[in-house]
Amino acid sequence: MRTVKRDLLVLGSMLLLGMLALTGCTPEPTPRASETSVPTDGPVFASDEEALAAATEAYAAYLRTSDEISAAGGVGAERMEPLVSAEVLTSELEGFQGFVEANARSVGVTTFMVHSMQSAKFLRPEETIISLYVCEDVSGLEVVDSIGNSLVSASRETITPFEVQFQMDGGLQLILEFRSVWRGESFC
Amino acid sequence: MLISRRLWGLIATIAVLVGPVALAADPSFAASTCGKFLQATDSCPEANGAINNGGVDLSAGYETGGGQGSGNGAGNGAGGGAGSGAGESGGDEGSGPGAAPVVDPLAFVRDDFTVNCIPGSPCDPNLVVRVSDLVNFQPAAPSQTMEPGGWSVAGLPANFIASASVHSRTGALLGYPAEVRFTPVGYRWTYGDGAQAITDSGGATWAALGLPEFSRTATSHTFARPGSYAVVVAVVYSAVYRFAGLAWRPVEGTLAISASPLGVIVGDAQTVLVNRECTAHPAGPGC
Repeated sequence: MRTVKRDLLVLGSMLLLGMLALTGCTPEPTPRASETSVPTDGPVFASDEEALAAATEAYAAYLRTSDEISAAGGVGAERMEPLVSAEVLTSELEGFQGFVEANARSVGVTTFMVHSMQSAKFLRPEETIISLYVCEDVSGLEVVDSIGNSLVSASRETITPFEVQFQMDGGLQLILEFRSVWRGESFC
Repeated sequence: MLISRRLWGLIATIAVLVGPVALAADPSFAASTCGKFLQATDSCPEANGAINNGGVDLSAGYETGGGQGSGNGAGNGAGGGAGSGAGESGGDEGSGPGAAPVVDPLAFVRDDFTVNCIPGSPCDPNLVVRVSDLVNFQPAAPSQTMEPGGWSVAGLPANFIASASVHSRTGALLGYPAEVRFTPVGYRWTYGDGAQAITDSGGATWAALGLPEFSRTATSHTFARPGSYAVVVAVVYSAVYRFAGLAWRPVEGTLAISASPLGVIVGDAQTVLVNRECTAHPAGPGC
């Protein structure tokens, strides 16, 4: 019994010391989506589920526009501008340029599935950030040249894991700020 | 109270870190972009556990829990290829979309003739184009004239002449840029009195044929009774098409394009004996 009390005392002391040490370098906590039950002056979404639904819808719009542009042979890529950040737009334009150079177009659609929501913060519009893990599927998307020859490699990976992040702009629209291939083991 | 708030902060921070793996929110995290063309035609680089310097880079920043190890090198055994990681996640191989075969209607037909070619596209040697597919190609209507001009005499041949020529149109055929060439192969006549005729040629004037007026020709028609008639000729076209850089191929079927109706007034004629030409002496006997 004495040993147990001593162990508890030592454990408690270590925990306290650890917390004190950490508090010196830990910044003020950033509210998470799961804290929406805390009274605020107006969260953007009522729940994580609502935030997820909004981000999913925004990503669907992004992919739909992406498919439309590739179906047009990469023409009209500026249609992506209202949906993505300047940084993402740059890489998107580069990606569509491949269609222009190959005189190719896509047929079909890209589908996706949200694997999970990585994080969500939406207490205020200007601080709203939603990050998702997404699996994109291009098995329904064909790429053909001007006379219908398929340009798809036989070794194409149809499923690609991405992590994506949305931020809310002044117009309360979720803008795709970040889209990166998941470089680790696929979660898809 | 201060400790309590910071403790919640610590817990919240850890809660974020124990998500699936690393965080994109980290501004120092370098995005691995993947262009649409590359993703759609080949594969995104670094996707699906791609090999990175001989080991699988499980993630940057996955350091929670202490002593977890970097993970780099753990994937050495997988080293076969970039796709090895896809089927291993979660132990539910086959359930994820990555394992699904291509079942899209546009899937390739890989045989001796259509390797790497989508059926129904220009490179498909078995592609059949019908005239009903030529919705974007409107061939020219024929021109139509007649002798005498706009009138005729019941019981005498009136000479009808239609003209159409070989011509081409460009447009989108089955979604691909194409050229279609129309060739007139026949003419269908509807005379407005219930009679119809089909001729191989559009006819020619009496003068061109070396015939006197009111002679019978291949395209003439004799109205039995006086009246007003609307004569319509339709040219029948056959067509061939070609896509950019490819040979001409026939279009299945023919299509008919009508000219505007030509009004004909058919009068009655009586033969009378006159002393002099009525044009010179309109008031003469019989005129």
